[in-house]
Amino acid sequence: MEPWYRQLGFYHNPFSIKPLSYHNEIYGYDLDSIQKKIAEGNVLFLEGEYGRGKTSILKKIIKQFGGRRNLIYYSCNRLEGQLDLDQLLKGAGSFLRRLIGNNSKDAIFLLDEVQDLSVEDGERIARLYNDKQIKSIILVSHDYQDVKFGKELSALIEGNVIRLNEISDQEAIRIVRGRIGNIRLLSEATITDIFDISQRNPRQLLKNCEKVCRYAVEQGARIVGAEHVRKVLGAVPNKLEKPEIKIIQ
Amino acid sequence: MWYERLGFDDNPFDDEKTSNLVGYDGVVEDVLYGIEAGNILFIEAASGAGKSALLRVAINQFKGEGKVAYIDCRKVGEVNIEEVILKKYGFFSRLKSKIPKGMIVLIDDVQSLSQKNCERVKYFYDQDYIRSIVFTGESFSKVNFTPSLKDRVSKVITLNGLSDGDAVDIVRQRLGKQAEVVSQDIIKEIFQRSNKLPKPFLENVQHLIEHAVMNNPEMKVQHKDMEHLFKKVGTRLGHQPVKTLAKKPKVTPKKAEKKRSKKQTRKRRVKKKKKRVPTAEQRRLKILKHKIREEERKLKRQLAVVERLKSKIEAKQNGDKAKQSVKEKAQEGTVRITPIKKKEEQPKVEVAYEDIAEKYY
Repeated sequence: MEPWYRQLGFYHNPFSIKPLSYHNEIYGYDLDSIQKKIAEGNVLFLEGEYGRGKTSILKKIIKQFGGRRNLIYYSCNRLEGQLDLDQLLKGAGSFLRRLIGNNSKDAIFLLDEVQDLSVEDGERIARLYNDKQIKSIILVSHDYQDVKFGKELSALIEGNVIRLNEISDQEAIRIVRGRIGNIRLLSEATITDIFDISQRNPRQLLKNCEKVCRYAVEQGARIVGAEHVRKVLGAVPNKLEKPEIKIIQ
Repeated sequence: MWYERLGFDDNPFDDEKTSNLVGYDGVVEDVLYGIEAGNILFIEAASGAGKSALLRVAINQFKGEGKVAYIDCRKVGEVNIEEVILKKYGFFSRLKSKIPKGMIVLIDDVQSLSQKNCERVKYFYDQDYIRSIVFTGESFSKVNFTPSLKDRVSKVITLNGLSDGDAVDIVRQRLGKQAEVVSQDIIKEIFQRSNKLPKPFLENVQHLIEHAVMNNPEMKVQHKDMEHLFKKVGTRLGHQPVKTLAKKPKVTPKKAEKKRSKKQTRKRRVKKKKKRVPTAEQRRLKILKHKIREEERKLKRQLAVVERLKSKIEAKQNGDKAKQSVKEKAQEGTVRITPIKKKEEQPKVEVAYEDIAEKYY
């Protein structure tokens, strides 16, 4: 059987949780101020709960800065041993620059999952910044308190920690509408209900919308009703942190 | 073989024969949907509960698109999983050091995978190199995932084993017309004794039927066969080495002919041809031959050029004739025109966007 979203005319799953995969939305965060700070050459720390959109923001910044010419995106959870800074720096800059082997001085480092970055590597990056080898740095992680930084890097980040706040109901509705359009299947009231049940987390909202829409469409309904939401998610906002568990007997 | 006596070409209890998973229909649907939609799934199952069979169904469904990787974590351990995935994609991927986009990764027994490797898989999923992931493991709550990865899991499916009725259905399905070989009660009892796990249950049923077919004239399983089975091998659980209970088949005359004496096999071994190492002389000859062939090819090409030039000169000399139109040439008979067939108009398929719009907007 065709998946529910194909029946509605979507080729891909509109509620995919991959960071900025098919969709270009960032709602609820002031991206302009972040971009100003990068352009001015600052060191920023971006902090936020899982599923709030940290990696999506980084990807959006990459797009807005016109691709990866001067931007180096690296996710520290891939690290094996020491970070090869020289290799990373060589990746920045135009093709010619790379050919000649001259490191670009305008490189901007976007480092994701920095809880996995070692203290020494952090200090090396801080030194490069202080020597004006790199223009600005954005560090992203779940919680600033959980990350170990050396002296130089801590000094640079001081006062530049940006926390991703909660988004409003309107913004949640805009996210869902941005994915699925002005479809009658999901009304604004239903979206806000699901948002509350999802503990006001964007990723959970998308996951739950997908489950509810799938169930409703497979039942042949044209509109998602309260009974669908109750059946799939439970009427009371779910306080458990585990994802939905289905037991087969 | 025992199954041949029942009229089967292959062993009907073969592990690979799981095209139709009994009792797990809802689960199969969820797994196939999750993979299609690009989600991360976690299947909680004890060993022998049928998770490998479930993964096989997924592989069969998506293998045509050429991008399914099955990884048994017990064999990976601390190895960088990037290399493991790249190995599956051949030389060119390794050259580019890039995982091709849109892969479906099935990771079996993820409790044996290091947290670092789990994070790497998560990274590739986020960057859309991996389309969807199916993890299997003993327990989701005890698995070695970071909270960040757990947060991305879309669904946790727990396989609790099958019911008695499902057990009977499986055996009936496998045996087909020969289903009367073993009765329902016996099937249920074996299922109980196999701790209700599909894999050991099927192994036990297979041995029972094998024993009955080879020893009972009516070729039907009786209670005494069951006692015999469990006395000899005990209640079977998990992946223990399997002993065959059936009598050894008699050696037929054809097979006897094929058996060679020890002396003959020794002689055959001695007679193995040694690899010829070419001498310097032979190598030189080979190179010369190669050169000659090259020269011949060059000459052919030059000849072809000369021919073309000749024909051009001739054409210029016979100036009028060269300006003949294609039609005139056709009339003369020097050129043959083949009529161009008109493409049959294919019926236009109108996509019913209106229907979709009406229904949902």
